[in-house]
Formats: sequence, C-alpha cells, structure tokens
Amino acid sequence: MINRRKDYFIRVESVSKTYGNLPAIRPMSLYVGKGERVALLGPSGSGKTTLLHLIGGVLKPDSGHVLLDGKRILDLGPGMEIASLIGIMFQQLDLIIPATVAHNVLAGRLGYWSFWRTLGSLILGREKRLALGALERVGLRDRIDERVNNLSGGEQQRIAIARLMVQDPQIVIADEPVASLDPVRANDIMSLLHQMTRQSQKILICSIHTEHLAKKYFSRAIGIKNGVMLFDLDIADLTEDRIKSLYTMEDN
Amino acid sequence: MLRVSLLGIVFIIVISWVDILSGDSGFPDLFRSETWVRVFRFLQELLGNDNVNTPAFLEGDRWIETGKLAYQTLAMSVLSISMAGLVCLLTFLPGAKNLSDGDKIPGWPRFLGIMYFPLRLFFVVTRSIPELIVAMIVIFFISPGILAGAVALAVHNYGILSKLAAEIVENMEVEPVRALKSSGSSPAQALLYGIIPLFLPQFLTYLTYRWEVVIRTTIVIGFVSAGGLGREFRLDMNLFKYTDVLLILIWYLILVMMVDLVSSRLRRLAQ
Amino acid sequence: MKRLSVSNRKMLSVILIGLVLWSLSNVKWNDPIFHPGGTDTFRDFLEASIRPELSAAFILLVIQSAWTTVTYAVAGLCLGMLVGIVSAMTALWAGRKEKSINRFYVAAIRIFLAFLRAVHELVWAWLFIIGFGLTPMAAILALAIPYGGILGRVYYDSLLIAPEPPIRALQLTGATDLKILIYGQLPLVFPNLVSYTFYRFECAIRAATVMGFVGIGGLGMQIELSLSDLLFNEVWTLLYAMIFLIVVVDVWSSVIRKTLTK
Repeated sequence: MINRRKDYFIRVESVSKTYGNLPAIRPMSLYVGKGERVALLGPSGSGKTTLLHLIGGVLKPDSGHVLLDGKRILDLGPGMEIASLIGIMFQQLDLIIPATVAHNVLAGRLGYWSFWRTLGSLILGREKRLALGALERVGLRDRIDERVNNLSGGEQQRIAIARLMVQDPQIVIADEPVASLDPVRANDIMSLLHQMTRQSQKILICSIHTEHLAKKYFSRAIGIKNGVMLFDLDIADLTEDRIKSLYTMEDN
Repeated sequence: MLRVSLLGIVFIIVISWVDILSGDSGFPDLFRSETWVRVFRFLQELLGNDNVNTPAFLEGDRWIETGKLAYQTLAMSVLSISMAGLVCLLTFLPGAKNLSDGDKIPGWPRFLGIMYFPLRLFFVVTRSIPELIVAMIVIFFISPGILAGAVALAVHNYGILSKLAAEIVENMEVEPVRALKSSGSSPAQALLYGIIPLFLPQFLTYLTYRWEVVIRTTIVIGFVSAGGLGREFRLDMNLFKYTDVLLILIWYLILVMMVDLVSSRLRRLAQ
Repeated sequence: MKRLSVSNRKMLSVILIGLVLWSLSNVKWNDPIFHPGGTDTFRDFLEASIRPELSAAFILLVIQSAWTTVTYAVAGLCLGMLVGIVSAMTALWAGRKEKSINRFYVAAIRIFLAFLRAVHELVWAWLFIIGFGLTPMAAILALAIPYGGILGRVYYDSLLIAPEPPIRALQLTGATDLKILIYGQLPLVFPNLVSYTFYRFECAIRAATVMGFVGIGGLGMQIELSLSDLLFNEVWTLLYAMIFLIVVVDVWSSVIRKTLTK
C-alpha cells in the first residue's frame, strides 16, 4: 500500500479555482495511486468539471499545483509526454464535427506524431489502419469514413472513446460520459472505459451521478459539493445517506 | 440607429441624383434621336455592316490569333488567383479574432495577437485600391505582360480573400482545439488537424468565386497594356477596328462562361 | 459516398496544382521582368505615401472629386438595385406556379441576369462612351447594368432559399403570394441582402473611381492626372481619400448588420 504522499501518481495539492467572485473549488487536496478507479459524485455546479479540468491541466489553479508522476502538469509541453500521461473526454466531446470518424479517432495520435507526419496523414491518409483497431472495439468500424455529424449522440461518445484508446494514456479523465444516455448505452460506455483502463495499472477518474454504475465500475468515490470535498471513500462504503448529503440543500 | 441610417441613405440618394441631373449628365441625350442614330451606327460598325473589309469575326486566322490572346488571358487569371490565394493562406491567420485572442490555441505566440490590427488594416488597404490603379503602379516597375497584370489583380484579391478567410475561422468552433491540446498536440498540429480541414472547402469556394470575378477584370487590366485580350481591345478601339472589338468581346464571353463552368465544378469537388 | 470525397479531394489537389503550374509556364520568364529604373520609381512612390499632398486647395479638389465619385456610385447602384429587385421579384412570382411556361420565364430571367453580369463595368463604360459620349450617364449606366445582374441574382437566390415553415403559417392565414414574399421571406433574409448591397456599394465606389480614368470625372480622373505627372504625393492623398470612403461604408455596413441581427 502506498503510504508516502510522494509516491502517489496523481498529487493534487491544495488547489483552488475562483471565477470572478465565485469560488468553484475551495482549497482541496487529493491523492490517487496507480490502478485506482475514482468516481466523482456531486450535483451540477458543485465543481466536478472544474476539478477534472484542473487535474487534466486544462485549467490553471489559482493556488496549489497538480503533479502527475512527479511532474507539474502545467510545465509539460505538447508532445509524447502529455499524450502518454493523460487523456480527457470532455462533456461536450469536442469532436471535430464536419470531419470524418477516421480523422477524429486519429487525432488521438497527434501527441506522438511529428508535424510532418501529421501533414502526411492529412494529405495521404496513411495512418488510417491505426484507427481500425479502436473502432473495432467500440463497434463502429464500418462507419470509419462517415462524417461525425451523421452519427448519433451515443455513437459520437464511442468515437471519443476510440480517440482515447488510440492515444492510450496512463490516466483517463471523463467528464459526465454517460449523462445523456439510456441505461443500456450507459453501461456499454462504462464497460468500454473499464476495459480501456484495466491493464497496466491505468487510472480512471470519472464524474458520474448514477449510483449503480459507480458501484459497478469504480473502486473509490469522492463527493464534491459547493467546491468542497464532502467525502472520500472506498466504493464499498458508499451509502445512500452519503449520496443524499451531496444533494440536499442546506443553509450553510 | 436604423432610422438615422435610412434617412441618411435616402438623403444621399436624393442629393446624388439632383447633383447629377442638374449638371451635364447626359441623360437628356437618351431622348434625343441623334443619340440613338449614333448608337445604331456604332452597333453596325461592330457588326461590320458598313465596312469594306471582311469583318474580323468571319476570318479564321483572326479567330486563332485572338484565341491565343484569350489563352494568355486565362493563364493570367489563374496565375493571379493562385498568387492571391497562396499569400493569403500564408498570412491570414493572425487576422482571425478568435485565434489572436490567444486562449483558444494553446501556446499561440503572443506576438501574433499584436498583429491582428495591422494585418486587418493591410487587408482593407489592399482591398480598397482598385485593380486598375494597382496595375498602373505595377507597370512602373514590372514590364508589361501577363505577370504584371497577374500581380495587379492579385493584390486586390489578396485583401478580399484574406478578410473572407479570417471570417471563416471566426465563424468556426475552435473548442475542439482544446481537446487536441490536452491530448498532447502542438499548436501547429492543432491548427492543421482541427481547423484547416474544415476551413479549406469554404476557402476554395471563395477562391473560385473570386476567379470568376478576376477573369472578368482581366480585360480591364489590359487597358494599361498588361497583355492579353485587354491590350488588344484597347488598341482596336483606338484604331476604330470595331469588328475586331466584337471578336474580342466574343472570346471574352467564351472565357467568362468557361471559367464559370469550371469554377462551379471545382466547388462541387471541394464538397 | 463518403469514400468518394477522399479521392475527390486528391483529384482536386492535383487539378489545382496543375492549373497553377500551367499558368506559371505561360509567363515569358526570359524577358526582363523588371524595368530598369523601375525600382527607383517604385521606391519614390512608396516614400510619397507618408508625405501626401495636404494643401488646402488640393484637399478641396479631393473632396469635390470624391463627392462626384460617390454620386456616380450611388446613382449607378440605385438603378442596379431597381433592375435587381424587379427581376428577382418577377422571377419569384413567375416561379410560384409549376407550369412549364413559368419555368421558361424563370430561366429567361436568369439568363438575362447572367448576360448583364458577364461584362465588366469598364467595358460597358467604354462602349457607352463611344455610343453616348463622355458623360456621367455613361458611367452610371455602365455601373447599373452589371450590378443589376449581380444584385438580381443574389436577391433571387437568397429569397429562394428562405426557410419554409414560416411561409406555411402565412399561407394558412390566406395571404397572397406577394404578401408572403414581403412579410414572410423578406425579413428572414433582409440582413444578408442589406449587407451584400452595402458590399456592392463599396465595389461601386471603387468602380466609379476607376471610371474616372477614362475621363468621366471624379477621383479616378484626378489620380490619372497626378500619376501621369508623377506627383506621387497627390496620388497618395487621393488614394487615402478613397480608402477612407471605403472604410466608412464598411463600418456603416457592419453597424447596420449588427443592429438588424439583434
């Protein structure tokens, strides 16, 4: 078991983030080790997205810092280092809409490619084979040349996952990946995320509000409310009351 | 604001017409029969009715000679639009507001943000000066020929294309670029992958529309002896060789129709 | 269908590159490209840009010429708009019914507009000068004809693609076709039409300037005079005046567009 803080793969140390007058995240610390699967719970507006973006290096914290594998994430430049370290699935997916599925999936390799290889991929279309494997796993192989805007929401979600698969990072962060899906699709997506991070002690951090999915796929549950961490538990210890405490309105 | 503008517009229209009609405008001539006699005679001269010689458009050699000029004119139009397009692609990016704001593209060098205003000003200036005036200036230091004409046309169209190109990017969602950044891509790659593929088809549409305009303008550039059909047009006008003028106009219309056709095919390919 | 688009793009790139190379091959690269002494003249010209002629008498002349140019542009655009609006409305009205004779009308109008558009305004100007003499009318008509064709086509195309559903609602209230046109479709595309018309006004100012070159008056004529005397300072003052006019129209147009789309 990991005892020393330094040995955690993800170290979030006293980070805070304020937008104008509203504190989105009050000073908070968090430590995640390899192989952990963390579910982030909380009502909308509680700061989950902000926290995920801070961990992923999308946002700069007003105080504190985030260290991944001992390195400050904000110091890492573009390229292979970041690509192999962290991958994010945004709530809005951020797919390149009028482009094809292949184009979007291959975008996951950009961190590994040089500029010229990127150009070659665009003009000559050589690297398409790489996308096929991932598309096979998400079940969309035959749609490879279609435009993304012709796909349904659930299918677009799977494309975003295929992109992550192609990128193959150590840490996968997903912001509300199943929020707008029906139970069957939601389970499919979660199962894919689970498969993706199963080996090599990968870390998965997801914000999610479906209790049974959390219990099924995650090892740890963190509750956020109003920018404050309410609890940080083993998934087995997650009770109804704990979850309710996140959602009740209190005069504080 | 709208009401003021409307009043302003009506005011300007009224004053302009008053100014024109109160002077020696030429409109009253439309009602004089001498004018129409003269016009009719001119049309006849175009058709070669009162000429001793064979009208130019009935002679095969003249068709071929003029055809060669038309060929050169076509080349001038393609050259010009390619120059405008290439230089535009190389320089227009800092002119897009959402890119030069700096936050959207990660690691976008700051100095490019400063270039926004000067660049847009440059677009306006090159766009404002009519091609003919540019041609007159260009003739000073480039010898007459299709290169001079092409450069003159390119300058003006560069300004137009760059403004349109910047607007394409400004109307685009640059959010996907954020996702690319977080998966480790460099600014250049994010640009290449997230923006260029969507940008190019639109840009090509504008490029082809401008080509249609350029081919029509080539005949005008020729006035300043830049070569091609325009030069011949002016020479023949000055020598009163009106049937040759008609032949040139016919070739001109052929060119225009051809370019319109090719241009719309290219647009369809680009989609 | 999507697979085709990839090879389409490759074909497109090949065609484009081929066209560019072909055009380059037509330049007579052997002949001297640059005039001897031309670079000096060009340098003088560029230097004069920071020292434009600013004497009171000349500025007055510039303002007068600028006004003349503006009046020609306004008048030409007016007539052009008339032609454009009438053609577009007629074509739309004719196109309402499905009879083949109506389709012929529409096609005829479109061909008519295309013909108007085909010839550059300067060519019309040249022809009109010979036919009607060196008068403002020559310039105005020379502007009006191609612009009528362009505006007619743009107005017609825009109104044609106006979105459907609101039209149905109006039809159900029993409105006649003309009323539907005015109340239903027009407001939807109005901002774009206004913006395009303003753009054409900008072009008209440029075109009217150029017509001055053939002696009709206005900024163009002054530019020609100053240019042939190699008085580059004067040329630049005139150029600045023209740029100023265009910027004013441009800014005014964006302000109106923003107000309309609120």
